[in-house]
Amino acid sequence: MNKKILSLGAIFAICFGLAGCNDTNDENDFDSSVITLNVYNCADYICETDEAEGTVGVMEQFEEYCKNTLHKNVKIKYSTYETNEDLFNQLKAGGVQYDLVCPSEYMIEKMIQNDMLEPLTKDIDNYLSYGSPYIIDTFNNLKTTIKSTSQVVSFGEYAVPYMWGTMGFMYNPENIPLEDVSSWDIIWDEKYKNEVSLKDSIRDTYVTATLHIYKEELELARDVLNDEQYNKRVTEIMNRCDDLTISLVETALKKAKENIYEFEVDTGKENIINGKYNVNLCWSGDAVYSLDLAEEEDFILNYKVPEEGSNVWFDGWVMPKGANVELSQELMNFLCDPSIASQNMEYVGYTSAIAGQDMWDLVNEWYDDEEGTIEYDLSYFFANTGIVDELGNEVSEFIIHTSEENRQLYAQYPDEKTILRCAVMKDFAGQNDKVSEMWIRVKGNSVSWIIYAFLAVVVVALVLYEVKNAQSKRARKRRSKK
Amino acid sequence: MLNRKHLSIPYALFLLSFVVTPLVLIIVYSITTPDWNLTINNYKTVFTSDNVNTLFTSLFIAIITTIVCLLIGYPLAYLLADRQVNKSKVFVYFFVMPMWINFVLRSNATKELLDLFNINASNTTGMYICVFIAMVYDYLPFVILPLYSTMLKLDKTVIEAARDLGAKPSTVFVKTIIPLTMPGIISASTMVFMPTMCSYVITDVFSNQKLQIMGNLINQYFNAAQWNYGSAASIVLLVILFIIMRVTSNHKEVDESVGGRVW
Repeated sequence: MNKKILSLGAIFAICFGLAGCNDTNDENDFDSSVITLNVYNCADYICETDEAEGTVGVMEQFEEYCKNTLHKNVKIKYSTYETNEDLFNQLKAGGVQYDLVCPSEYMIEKMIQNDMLEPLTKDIDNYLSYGSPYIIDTFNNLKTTIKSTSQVVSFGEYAVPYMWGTMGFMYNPENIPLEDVSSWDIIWDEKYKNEVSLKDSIRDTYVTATLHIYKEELELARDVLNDEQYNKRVTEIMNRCDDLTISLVETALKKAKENIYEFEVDTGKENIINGKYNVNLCWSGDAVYSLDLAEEEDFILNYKVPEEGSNVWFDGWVMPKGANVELSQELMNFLCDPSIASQNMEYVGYTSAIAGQDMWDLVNEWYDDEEGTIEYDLSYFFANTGIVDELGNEVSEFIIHTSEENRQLYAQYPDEKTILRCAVMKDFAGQNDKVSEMWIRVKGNSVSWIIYAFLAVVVVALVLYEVKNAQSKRARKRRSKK
Repeated sequence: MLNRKHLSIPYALFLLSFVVTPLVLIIVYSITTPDWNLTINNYKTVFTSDNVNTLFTSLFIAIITTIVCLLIGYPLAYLLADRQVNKSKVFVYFFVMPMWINFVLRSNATKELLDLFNINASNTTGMYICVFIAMVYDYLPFVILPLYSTMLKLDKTVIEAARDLGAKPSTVFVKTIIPLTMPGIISASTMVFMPTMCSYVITDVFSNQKLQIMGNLINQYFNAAQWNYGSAASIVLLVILFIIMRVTSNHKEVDESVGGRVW
């Protein structure tokens, strides 16, 4: 009996003791109440904890950072979605209050227009110091109007860029000459029947079609305009969605459908490595992934952004209405830290919008080849972000030495010439419904007479069968009456 | 007191929340605009010529798949149900086993296999052949099982009687075996026909996303946040289902009367 009481006492003592320990931990200004931050991101789009590899997830690092530096107990609730449209529909439907989400630029535009976002309330220091000048420029120049107040705002007031990239062709240089993938026309080229695949997404295919339809106009513009004007022209042409353009695009895409191997969302990466076809329309990040994968199998793939121009895209962090603005901006700032951003880039494979020392070191480590004879200039991206060399002097020329063209480096960091012909694609706005109906028509089938004939035969057979049944039933009834 | 009626409460609740409510919602969505005004435009959109083509293609695929499934599954089920041929019953599992393997894996494996024999979606005929093979492969178990269970119950004495009374084998088959197994044929057909019109994952994988069936159409409308059009398309499918149920229930009556006559 005594022993029991003793042990009970011991248990109590331990409990109180532990509680006491907890109390002493919570000293000073540490706020022990747990704040939950709801982060909603694309799947596989951030550095996550991987015990086998020994990496600590960026979200966990932020929790640590909050505890140590901000003296706040923050718990991140991280979840993922598949497409921008899913995200938009969920935010519209309400339910969970998300604090930080990561849509693409056209979706950010749509959200700003519908007044669904909280504006930034303070400067994101890391972004201003380490964000690439090219990205900051482009983002601040993207403007849209809030529908309810008709106020014109720039993307920079709402969003902090996360990753970015271009769209182009991934191709097998053994079978396809560079010249042919330098134009979107290859999609329609009968010489390459069943050799090209397109994305099963209207926004991506729409760009290829507009640039194909208005190619002559672009070629004329190329001769007379300077780079900046040409970029504006590409932007204008890419974003044309009047009724005439939509019907031209429809005809072009229907023709393309006959010529291509497949529409795909995620099978392209494998199929091009398996050699099912030789050209795949893809995003630069996916290209890097596939080029790496192919290399492991001693197989060379290249990436090329066609000469007419292409789409450059940005994903950025924004705060939906009602978010915890204070803490979300802390997290944005944390994500813009070059050391964190480089971890994300290493993990995800897409190109970070952040420059800075760690990023420059990483890019050098990956791509700089001392024997390389080609000088690849990345000044447009890395200039003025506080990068120094081994001696501590500020770097002014950002040159990577390489021996290969149109490979991972080009996919990850396109050269300035390519950048100048890449434009941002806007939301279809008022024409959204018309465009999506057009896409449904493109995806629809042309029905041959065989199908009509077959269905007619089936219907006739069924009717005859019914009639016969009804007759025999009547006959049976008559017989049973007798 | 636990009344027998109370046993139905869980299912009634389930029915109300997961069948009736969504159905009402779909109907409401299908006859309204996004601003909640009444309209029939959604149905007009669903019946534009391109979408009718999609509907016809789906019907075509569904009918062919059902017929082929029955042609393969019926004799097989008959054999499996025959105690003399299939002594252990374990055999049945071999034919149902594909159902237990992950659907995505199975589809992709089949696709690679067909590709090996150069059957692929590079031309229209090849595309349809691919889709048919895949559909039949995926839905065959759904045909075999109901047919098998009906045939287990098949009264052999009736068939023997028919034979004894001098019917030719073909007459025995057409006039006794088929009518007696009609319930199995009907449930097997409905289990194949409706899903094939909607299971767009199979058509997507096997046609390289070039063939569109009703499932794709609904999915595309929903992806573009056009809930109203999507709902209208779903209702159209539902109406087709009701028509088919109506026709098949007629056949059941025939079957009963035939059975009754035999006795």
